[in-house]
Amino acid sequence: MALAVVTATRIRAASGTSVTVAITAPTPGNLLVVGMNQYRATAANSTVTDNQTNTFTKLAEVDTTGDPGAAMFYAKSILSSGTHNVTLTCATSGTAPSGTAYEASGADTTAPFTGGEVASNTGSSAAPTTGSVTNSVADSIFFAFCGNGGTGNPATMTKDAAWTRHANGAEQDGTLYMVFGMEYLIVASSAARTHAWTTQNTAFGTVAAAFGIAGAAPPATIPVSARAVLQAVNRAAVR
Amino acid sequence: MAVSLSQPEVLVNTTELHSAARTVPQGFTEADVTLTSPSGEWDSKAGTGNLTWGIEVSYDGSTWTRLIFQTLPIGSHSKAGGMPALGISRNDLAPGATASIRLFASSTTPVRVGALITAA
Repeated sequence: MALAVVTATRIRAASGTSVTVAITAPTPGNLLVVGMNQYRATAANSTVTDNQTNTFTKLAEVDTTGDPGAAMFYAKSILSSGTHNVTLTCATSGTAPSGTAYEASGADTTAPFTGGEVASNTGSSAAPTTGSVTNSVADSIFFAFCGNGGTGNPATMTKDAAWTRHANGAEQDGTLYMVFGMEYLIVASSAARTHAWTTQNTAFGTVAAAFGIAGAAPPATIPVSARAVLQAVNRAAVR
Repeated sequence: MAVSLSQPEVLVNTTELHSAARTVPQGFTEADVTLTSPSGEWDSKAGTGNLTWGIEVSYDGSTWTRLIFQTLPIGSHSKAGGMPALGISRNDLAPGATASIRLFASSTTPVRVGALITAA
């Protein structure tokens, strides 16, 4: 099955330290990736949970004492039955959780995220960027999230043209909510990739990560016995 | 397209209260639900307890499911100093379904609040 985004649900609260949303009913076995922004968090202990016993693993979190604190979570091969509630809980001192929950199909159900394929960034720039992420599996889906301290409605959150944003992949009402943008990119080759946005507010936090397709061949390795033969041949050649 | 669903200021306590239900019209895309406090109790009773509030949806008029909700301390404000708000989108509802929505609220300490839903 090819990698694809099935749907996305936007989550927005102007106050409070947590919010629960009934997301668009996902298909069991799919991948959920959640990007989260929050206001003035001071500890990297935000969480995402649901009412389906799925485990959401945090890929990265960048909290600041300034406006935005960005984080990204994923749950692989999800269980889902009935109303599927997802709860975003802010880090210490953080409030106003917002974000998007993307559902993707076709991802590996045992190890979609093999580790190391994530980058985070924080700073002050009207052109926020993610760090560089290189996918180890050629067929992968990248997600990139930018939490921003933008104000006004609409606040600017322009994405990179090569990436795709679901209709629920951004919040640009900075008068009420924390502004963010979350996009995805489906690729068929391994390479280093980044995502850059254009915003009006300079305070930002970003997270990007790559998830591999189901059934991908593991990286090529040379069996020990073959390696021993090659070493013997090389030694003979040197002599 | 607007969904008019204002909730007059009422005394909220441990018994869950609901607004009148309204049918979600075709063309509805997204809306903000904002707490109101005409008598000022939201601020005067700050820190005295928690409020749980949100939006419920029904497709048959009898079974209600919570669409979005949160529990927050009485007196909480948004980052801009405004009243708490929650955002809902058409995609949060079952597309094409005949849906009705309503507000719900309960609190650990009596407090008078209202709510207003407006098209974003």
